[in-house]
Amino acid sequence: MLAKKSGQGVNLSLVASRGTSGAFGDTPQFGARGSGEDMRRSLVPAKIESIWVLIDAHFVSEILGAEPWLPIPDARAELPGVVAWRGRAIPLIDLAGPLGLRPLAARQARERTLIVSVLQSAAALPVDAAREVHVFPSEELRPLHVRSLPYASAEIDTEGTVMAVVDLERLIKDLREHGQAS
Amino acid sequence: MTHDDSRQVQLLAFEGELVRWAMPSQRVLSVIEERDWHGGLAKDAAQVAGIAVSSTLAPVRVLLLSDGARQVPVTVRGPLSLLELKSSDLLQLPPEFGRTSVVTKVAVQDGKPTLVVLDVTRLAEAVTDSVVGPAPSAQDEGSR
Repeated sequence: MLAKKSGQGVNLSLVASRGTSGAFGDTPQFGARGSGEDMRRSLVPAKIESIWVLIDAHFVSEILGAEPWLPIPDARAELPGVVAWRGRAIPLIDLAGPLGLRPLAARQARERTLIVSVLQSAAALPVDAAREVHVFPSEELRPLHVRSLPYASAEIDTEGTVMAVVDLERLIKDLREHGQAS
Repeated sequence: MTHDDSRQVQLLAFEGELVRWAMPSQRVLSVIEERDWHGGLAKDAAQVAGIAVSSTLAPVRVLLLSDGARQVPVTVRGPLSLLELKSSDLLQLPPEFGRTSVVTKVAVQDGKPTLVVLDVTRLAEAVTDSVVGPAPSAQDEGSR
């Protein structure tokens, strides 16, 4: 069961040994991290509305339930507010805009919150669903073809569903540079 | 001021359309009904901070803010409340939001972020074009 309270989420140092069936947190099956890390990529499938994307698992430190967030005036649509996490205010990053979806409205929450640590800082990604970490052989990652999304670095066709891998580092770097310029 | 008091922060809080907002009350010298304000132009603090507030909210008050040697008037709309929080419940806004915003902190209550907190110095700088001067001889509704 997913913890609702900040700082008590699911530890992702373990990797699911099974496929991507079943919502993360329902009946996760954990096993040892796969061998041959250089040939594989561990990714967390996450859904925003109807779109599944993949987040590099090494960025994801916790998966929480719906987290209350506070809108910040004049903030960018991709960065609409903050979440309180471990005694800090961390930015809430809404991937809906880059995915061509309607941005998160004030007081709207998504059922899951991924806490990611990227470029030495934490951020919260609200998503509607997240599944257990899936280890993909690197040959399954291919250049963007079906999905043409900003901040996507590759795509994977899994069981007939094409999912983009989100380039979180580039997204957060852009957000920071924009913040420094403002 | 006792040691315990120093660990508490008092905020004057207001309602916005999407977000509650506040400012440290120790920087508010006076709260004056708008009709009793006879100084110069007092800019709308929420508008300056980019916070949406209904223009029909009442009452309208003028706050006289202390910014060093200056006294800076701003208007605020709607009911106000006084909150007392631990200083540890005021969290710095992450750098991704920029360093020039009037909003620099958020307040946390029961573990949830509930208010944006304005930096009075930055607010005063943002309204610096407005009339700055000593407090008028108005009847204070209250003072901090």
